Amino acid sequence: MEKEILEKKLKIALQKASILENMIENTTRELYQKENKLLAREKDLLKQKDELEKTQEQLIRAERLSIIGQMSAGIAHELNNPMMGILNYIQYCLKHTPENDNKYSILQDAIKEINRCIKIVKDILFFSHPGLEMESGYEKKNCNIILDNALNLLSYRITEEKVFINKHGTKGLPEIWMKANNIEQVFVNLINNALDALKESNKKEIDIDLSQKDKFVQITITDTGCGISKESLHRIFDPFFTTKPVGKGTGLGLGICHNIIKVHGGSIFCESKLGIGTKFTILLPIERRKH
Amino acid sequence: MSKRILSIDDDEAIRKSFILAFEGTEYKIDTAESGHEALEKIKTNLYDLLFLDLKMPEMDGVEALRKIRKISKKIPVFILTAFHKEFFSNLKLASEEGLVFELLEKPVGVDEIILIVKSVLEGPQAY
Ligand SMILES: Nc1ncnc2c1ncn2[C@@H]1O[C@H](COP(=O)(O)OP(=O)(O)OP(=O)(O)O)[C@@H](O)[C@H]1O
Ligand SMILES: [Mg+2]
Repeated sequence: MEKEILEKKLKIALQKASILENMIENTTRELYQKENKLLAREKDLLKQKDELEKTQEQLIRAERLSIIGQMSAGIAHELNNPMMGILNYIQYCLKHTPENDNKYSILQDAIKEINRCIKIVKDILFFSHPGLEMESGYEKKNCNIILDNALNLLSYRITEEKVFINKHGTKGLPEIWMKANNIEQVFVNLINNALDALKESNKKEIDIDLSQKDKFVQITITDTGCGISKESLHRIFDPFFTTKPVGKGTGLGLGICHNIIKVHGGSIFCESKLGIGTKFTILLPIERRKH
Repeated sequence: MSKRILSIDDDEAIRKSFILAFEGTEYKIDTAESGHEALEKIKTNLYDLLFLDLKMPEMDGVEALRKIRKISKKIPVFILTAFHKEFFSNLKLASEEGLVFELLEKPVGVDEIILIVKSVLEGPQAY
C-alpha cells in the first residue's frame, strides 16, 4: 500500500520535474534569443556611434579647413597691394639698370621671387573662393577638349620628362556644364602632380580615361609614380599639405581641385599604392546643379 | 596731344606703381586718392582711361563708377580687384545696372599695364 502511494508520488514528482525542465528550457531559449537581440542591438549602437564620430570628425575638419581658408584669404588679400608695389618698383629699377651692371641679374631674381609670392597668393585666394563669380561663366563644354588644353599647357614638361600619355574613352562623351577655366586648372594641377610623382619612376606613364557614368562624366588620371603613403593619403586635400621641397610645392593644388569640383556639384577621390602609382577619379554632373 | 590716364586708389603703392609704369611713355598719368578726388578731377580734366580700385574707404569703386558714369558714359574704366568676396556682389549689381567696365586682377606689372592701355587707346594694331 505504502509502496503504491510512494510510487504515485514519485510519478507526480517526476512529471512536475519534467514540466519544470521544459519551462527552464523554454526560458533559457527565450533568454538566449533576447541575448542575441541585445547583442545585435549593441552592434547597431556601436555602428551608429562610429558613424556619429566620423560625422563629427568631418564637421570639425570642414570647420578647420574653412577657418584656414578664411584666414589665409584675408592675409593673401592684404598682400596684393604691397606686392603690386614691389613688382612695379623692381621692374622700374630693372629698366634703369644697364644689363652689364651686377645688380641687373639680382633685380631679375627679385622679380622671379615676387612672382612666386604672387602665384602663392593667387592660389590661396582661388582656394578659398573657387566659385566666386558662381553664376556667371558656366558653359556647355566637352571635358576632352579641356583636357587637351591642359595637356597642351604642360606639353613642354611632358616631352622634356619623357612621359607617355595614354588617353582613351573620348568618343561620344556628353558635354557638361562647367566653368572651363576652372576645370582646366583641375586637370593641370592633377597632371602636374602626376608628373612630379613620375620623376624617379622607371615606367613613366599617365593614363587618362573618360567615360559616362549614368548622369555623370567620369575622368580618371592614373600615374605609375611614387604613390602616396597611407598616413598622407587622408591629408592630401588639406591646404598647405605638401611633401615637396620648399619652393616646389605649396600644398594648395589639390585643395583647389577639391573646391572647384565641389562648386560644380561633383566629387573627387584618390586611391594610391606606395611605389606603384596613384589614381584620381573625378565625377562631374552632366546637367547643371544648383548649389 | 598725349593721352591722359587716371589711377584711383587709396593705396600709395598702387598709385606709385602707375606713375612709374608710365614714366618715359607717351602717356600722362594722374592719380586720385579717393572717389571724391577722382570725381573732382574728372569734372575738370578729360581722361582717356581710368584705373579704379574696388576696395576704398568712404566711396568704394562701384559707387565711384556710378558717379563717373553720370559724367562720362564712354571713358574706358578698368576696375582693379583682388577676388574680394563682399565686393563681387556689388560688381554684379553694377553690371546689372548696365554700368560698363572691365576687370583687372591685382597685382599687375608694368608690361600688362602698358599692354592694356595700348590696346584700348590705340586699337589692336598697336601690338
Ligand atoms: N599623383 C600623385 N602621386 C604621388 N603623390 C601625390 C600625387 N598627387 C598629390 N600627391 C601628394 O599630395 C601632396 C599635395 O598635393 P598638392 O597638389 O595639393 O600640393 P603640392 O603639389 O605639394 O603643391 P602645389 O600643387 O600647391 O604646388 C603632394 O605634396 C604629394 O605628396
Ligand atoms: Mg600640386
